[in-house]
Order: sequence, then C-alpha cells, then structure tokens
Amino acid sequence: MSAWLNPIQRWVWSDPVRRGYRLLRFAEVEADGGRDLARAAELTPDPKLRRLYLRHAADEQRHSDMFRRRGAALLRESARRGAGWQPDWLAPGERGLDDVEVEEGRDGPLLAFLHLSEAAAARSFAVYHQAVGADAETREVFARILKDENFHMSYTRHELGRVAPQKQGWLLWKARLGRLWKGYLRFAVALAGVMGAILLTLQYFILLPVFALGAKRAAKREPEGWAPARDKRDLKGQY
Amino acid sequence: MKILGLSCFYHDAAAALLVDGEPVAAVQEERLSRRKNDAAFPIEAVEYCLDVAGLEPEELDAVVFYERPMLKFERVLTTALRAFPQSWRSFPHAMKNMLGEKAWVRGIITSRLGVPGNKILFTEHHQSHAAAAFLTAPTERAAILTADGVGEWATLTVGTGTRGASGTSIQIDREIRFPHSLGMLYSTFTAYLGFAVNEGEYKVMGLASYGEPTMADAVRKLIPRTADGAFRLDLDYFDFHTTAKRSFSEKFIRLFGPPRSRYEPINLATDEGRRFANCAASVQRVLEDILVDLTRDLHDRTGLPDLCLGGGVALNGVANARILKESGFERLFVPPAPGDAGCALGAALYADRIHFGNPDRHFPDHPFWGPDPDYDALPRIAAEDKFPHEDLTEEALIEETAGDLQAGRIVGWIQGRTEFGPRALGNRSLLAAPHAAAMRDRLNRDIKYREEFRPFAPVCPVEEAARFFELPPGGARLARFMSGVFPVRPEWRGRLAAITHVDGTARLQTLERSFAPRLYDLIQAYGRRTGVPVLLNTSFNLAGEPIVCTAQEGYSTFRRSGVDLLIVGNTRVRKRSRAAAAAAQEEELV
Amino acid sequence: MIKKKGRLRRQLVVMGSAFGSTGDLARGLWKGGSDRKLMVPLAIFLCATGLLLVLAAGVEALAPFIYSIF
Repeated sequence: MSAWLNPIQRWVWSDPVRRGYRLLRFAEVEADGGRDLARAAELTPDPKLRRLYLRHAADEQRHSDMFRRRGAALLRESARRGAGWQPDWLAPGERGLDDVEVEEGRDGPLLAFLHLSEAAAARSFAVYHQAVGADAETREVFARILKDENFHMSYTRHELGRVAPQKQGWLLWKARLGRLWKGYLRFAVALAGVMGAILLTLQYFILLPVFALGAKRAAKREPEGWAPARDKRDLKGQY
Repeated sequence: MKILGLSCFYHDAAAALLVDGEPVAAVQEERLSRRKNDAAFPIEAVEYCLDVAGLEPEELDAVVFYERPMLKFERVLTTALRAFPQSWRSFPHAMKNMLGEKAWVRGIITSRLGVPGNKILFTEHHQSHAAAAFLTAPTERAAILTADGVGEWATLTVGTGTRGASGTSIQIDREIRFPHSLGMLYSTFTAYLGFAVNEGEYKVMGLASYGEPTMADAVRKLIPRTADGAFRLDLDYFDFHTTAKRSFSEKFIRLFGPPRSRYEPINLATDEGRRFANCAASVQRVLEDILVDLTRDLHDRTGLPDLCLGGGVALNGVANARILKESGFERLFVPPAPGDAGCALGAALYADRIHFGNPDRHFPDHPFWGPDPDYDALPRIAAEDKFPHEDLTEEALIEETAGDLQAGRIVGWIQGRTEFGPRALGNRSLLAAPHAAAMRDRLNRDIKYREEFRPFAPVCPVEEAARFFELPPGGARLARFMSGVFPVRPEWRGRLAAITHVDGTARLQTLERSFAPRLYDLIQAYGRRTGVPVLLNTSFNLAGEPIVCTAQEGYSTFRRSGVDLLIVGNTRVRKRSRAAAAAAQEEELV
Repeated sequence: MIKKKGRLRRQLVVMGSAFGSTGDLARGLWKGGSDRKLMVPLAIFLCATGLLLVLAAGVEALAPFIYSIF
C-alpha cells in the first residue's frame, strides 16, 4: 500500500501550504487521540494502565503541539494563503479514520486496537517522513514522533499480554477484523451518502420548482418585522 | 408527576427530571459522554436523571421534547423552496439531516426509552427558553425576552409570565422569524472570524474589547431596522439559508474583507489582527444596541420591573449588563443554562406548570443538578500512583488552600453536584489568585491552551462585590450565575490584573454562602490573608474537553496540565517533585 | 435501567411511528393557510423518502444496496 502511495504522498507533501494545512489537521487528530487516551485512563481500573495511558495522552498532546507549531510556521513562511484541495483520506494521521471505543472494563480490546493503530500510524508517518523531501524541520517532527510511536506499539503489545495472556492473539485478530469491518462500514455509509444525495438532488430539481414558485410568492407577501406569536397549541402535536 | 425534559440533535443535548414539580436532576450529555457539545440523544443524561430518582422509564408520566420537529421541518423545507435554485447544494444535506433523524423524535424517544408515543409531548423551542428563564427565576411577574439563532421559526420572542397561587402562564405576544435572527448575525461573524459556531461566540465577545466599533455602520447595513422597531437581515450578505458550508456571502467579504483562517492566530499588533478585533467590536455594539432598544420597548409596553432573558444570546454578558443599565428594568434574570441545554429543564417545567396545570413551586436558586463525584476515588487513585495526598479537616482544607492560592498555586476544585449549564460556578472550577497578569498568561498557556485575548472571571462574596466592581442596581443578582460583565473599579484594576479584561471589565460571579459554602469560606480565608476576597474562577477543563464531572476526570486533567493541586471533597493531592516524577516515569517503562 | 435495543430494532420502531408524525405535519400544513396547504403533497413525498433514509441508517452495512433497489 505504502509503495504505491509514495508518489502520491510526495505530490501531496510537495507544496508547503498544503503541507502546513495537513500538519495542522494532524495536530487536531493527535489532540483528539490524546483525549481518547485520557478517557481510557479515567475509566480503567488498572493502575499501571492508567499511568501508561496518561503518558500516552501526554505524548499525543505533545505531538499535536509539534504539528501545530510546524504547520503554522509553514503557513507563515508562505506568502500564499488558502488550503486548496485537501485529500484528507490520503493522510489521515494517527487513528484519523478510526473510532476509538473507550469503555469501562474493556482494556484488552482497547490495547489490541491501540497496538494495531499505532503500528499503522508508524507506517504512515514513516512514509510521510520520506515524502516531505528536503523540508528538514518537518522531517525532524516526523522522526521524533516515530520514536514515540515505537514506544506506544511496544507498551500496548506488552500490556495486552499482561491483561489478557490467554486471549491476546484472539483479541488482535478481532481488532484486525474490526478495523476491516469499520473500513467497509465507512465505505458503505459514504457510498450510501452519495446515493442519498443524488436521490435528493434529483427530487430537488424535479419536484421542487413548482412548489418553490408558490413559496417565493408567499415570502413576498410576508410583512417585515414583528409577527404575532403562534396560537397556543396542545403539547401532543409535533407541528 | 414525573416529567422528563429532553433537548438534543442540534447542539448541547441535555436531560432534566421533575418529580412532583421539584427539580431532581439535570445534566448535559457532554458531561457524561465526554464529547464536547455532544448533540446526540442524551441517553446517559437520561439514565443519570432516572437513577437519581430511582425510576424506570415506564414510570415517567411524560417525556417532553424541547421543540416541535415537524414545525422545524416545515421551516427547513420552506427555506429551501424560497432559496430555489441556489439552495440545491444545501437541500440534500438538510433533508438527510432532518429526515434521517431529527424529524422522527417521537419514534426515537420510544425506541430509546420504551416510553409510549402518547406520553411524549412537544413544547415550542422558544416556549422552552421562556420557561427555563421565567419559571426558574425568583419573580412572580416578569417580562420575557428570548433570542437565539433559530428554533422552529421564531428567532426572538417577547412576552410576559405570571406565576403564583392563581396559576402559571407564559404569554408570548410576538416574535421575529427566521431568517431574521440576532443569533445568526452573531454566529455569522463568529464563523467569519475563524471560530467554531455555537462555541466561539465567547471568543468574539472577548476579542471585541480589543477593538473599536469602527465598522458598526457596515454591520447595520446587514441588519436594517424595520418600521415597527424590529429588524431584518439583508440576505444578500448571508449564505446560511442557501448552503451548509458557509454562513457569509461574497458581498459580506467585499464589505468586511477576507475572513480569518481558523488556523491563523490573531495578532493584535498587526493591521489584520486589529481589523478582526474591530469587526468583533462592531457586531458586539450593534447586537447590544438592538437588544437595548427591544428591551426598552418591552419595558415601556409591560411596565414590569423584572425581565427574564433566555436563549443563547443571553450568554452575552456584555449585552446583558447594558440591558440592565439602559432598558429600564430593575432586575434582570438569566438562568445558569440559558442555551438549548436549559431547554430540557424549560420544557419539563412548561409541561408541569402549564400543560398539566400543576401548582407553582419555588425553584431552588442554584445550578447544581448534575452528578456528585465519587469522593473515595481520589485517595485510592493518588495512592496507587504514589502522589502525595491527604484528607484534611474542613478548617485545615480552607486555610491551607487559601495559603496555596496566595503562594500562586492553581487549584482544581471539585465539590458536590456538577453545574447545569456552560459555566463552572464553584463546584467544578479551577481557582487561582486574581492579582497578576502573569497568572492569566500561565493559565492560558499551560492549562487552558487558549488565545491570549480570552479573559478569566472573578468570584467574590456578594457583600464585598461593590468594593471591587462597579455594579449597577440589580448587578449583583445578574452576576449570580456569571451573566453580566461589569467594570472593575479603577483603583483595583492593578491588583486584579488576572481577571481584568483589556477594557477594564470582568465577568463577575457574586457568591452567597448558601450557594457554595466551602468556596465562600475559602474566598473569605483568602481575603483575610491578602485583603482581597476575590478569586479567579475558570471552568475545570482543558481545551476541547467538557468541564470535568467525576473525580477521575479531575485527576486526569490535573495530571495532564499545569494544575498544581487537586481538591475533591476533603482530599487534597499535590503534584510530585521533579525527582519523584522522573523516578515514577522510569518505573512505568519497566 | 434503560433496556438497550439493537440499532435495526430501534430504527423499525422509528419507522413505525413515522406515519403518525407525517400525519401531524400534513394536518399542520393543511390548517396553515393556502400557501402551506400547497406544500402537503411535497412534504408527504419527502417524508416517504425519509423512511428510506431511516431504513438505510438502520442497516449501515447494507445501505448502498437499499438505495440501489430504489
């Protein structure tokens, strides 16, 4: 996947303004990830996991700050303004497209999920690290974050072995299948969204013109300013 | 009677429960789901409310939704028809939004709670606002004004309310209808200035103090007054009725210049930064002028001394203070949750007092209707994490915390039930010394991670407030729920620099002892030490997060920020020394 | 304790109550003067489309197929 994405990534990261906005988007995603981990720390009954989740959350917040600072600097350095087209799906960042399900008493599945998403993020960031080319400062940001990702990958795997020694393999497979299923659901919902939008747009142009004429005429007859309040109606009605 | 009020699907979902006319619980969904401004069906909030009363959903006599979904659908459809064919982009989005969920509220409530359809009632959006404002205020007769972005059709309503032994009534006399909306005007500028709509309006108000209303005449072009004293929006300057993507039009941009990118910080030292501040000041001035005009007219027409203000616009403390000063009303009541969350309570109260005709009851004059913290959790967690902690007596807690505050420490303060509404009013607060501007900067930089132009609020015992703040008659009442912005007395501005805004004002909270006894005692103890019984009080949360609710959330926030100590009930936890923190981190890696 | 229902079951309950809600809207529009009366057929048609949207939301995984049937 990364191999064929490389040329696209190089194009995506080649423009400093696009790069800047992309990093600012990453900053938001990392901050969101940090909040999810803080939530996990608040809910876990396991003291060691709480400490690790909190540390992980602090790392995510630090990553967010690094991305934000670098993104803002890139935009400041560039005379051009405006984000232009932003192909978000190409570079979602860490867990950018994954929903973390943080629930009380479910550390095993969460650790399995985190382990896989940290691994995916590390792969993506390695690609971006290469793709930014001569921009040494952005490369450095990715390099520093990659080091943290390695720690996150290893602690989540280690802790998964501790909290679910018998079921760790199954949990990892379940998390993999869960990621696949969620990926399909995202695709299905997006496709359905497009189909729904087409259906409604067709209705708009086929059905609405006649009614729009009437509505526009009625709007012209409406007086400006204060209107009398509606009559009091029974609370059982929805209109 | 057991009546559950609900608000959801726009922003700030909430649930509120009345049992025999008395409020039992009310909480925003975001405080429990931990998703800021959570608009989803408030299932956790409902569960909490029912738990407090020990009820099952089937024992409810009524569930009241805060607006009429089919009337709203009619407005959305009519708006699309009127804007045909420009509305073609927004139509699929609007229809999916309404018909995919929001139009079917009765079915959603039945499917989620198992309550039969005949027990589900619907108030109008502004009726809910009016009820939340009037039926919670300590007054028997008052004029009522509600204003927000939009409900069903109404965007602003005026009327009167009466309650007492002879019965309760809320009579809305007249209204201004969508698309003409003060709330939409302000939100459009919020978006133009690069802030999130329904969240960044505070920022516009804060930024306004740094500017001059040099563009007020330009803003007035957007909102000309009508012959009958109301207003209309000139829709050529707006796009909110034709697209879901942007609320201002190209003509708006030609008038005010390019909008701010949300990623670019506002630098007030540059021309561009000053232009944005002037924009904010201009829309703020126009909003205030219109509200003062409307309330003055309302006062003349009703002759009543009291005004109850509801709707999201009532969160504008600067405008509220001007209304109090200039409208002729003697007292102005703004509930602690004037926005849509408060509508859950308003809808339940409206159904109880007016639909079912139950007798009027005194409404407790405080906002503490949410969950209590688990007081045992903090000592346990702190011990597990080897954080220095102690359980103190009441007296020691007050005196030692006052000492900590005097020493410049920032205190996370969790006591009792959480507040209903957007403001931390003493039970989920970050407290700090109010004297040095450096404290404000530290809070903005290390804890709240927010813009430098955002001010912090002071809290002061009500009987001491006039010493430090210039309060007009009725000002102390308005400040009860931090609903007004008042000048800090010039001689105190230097010693209250952390809470004094650039224009010399502050969003004050006045405190009676009965409201939050422990906080009151703490402020008095602090006053004995420093001669200034005032504390900086800001909400206990980090940027992008809801205000903390539980002890665990307080602890997590304490760990992730520059808060120096955390107090939950009588337990105090301090940050570890640098060496201890480093050793602990090593241990975690093993 | 609130009894949790599955997503599809919830959406079927919503669909069941949608007829009454549509009736509320149609009645309201009918009583609302001549301008609003004219909107009744459009409103009912759109509400029927809404049922499709609700069904699609209930079975996310099959949503594209549901749309394609229509």
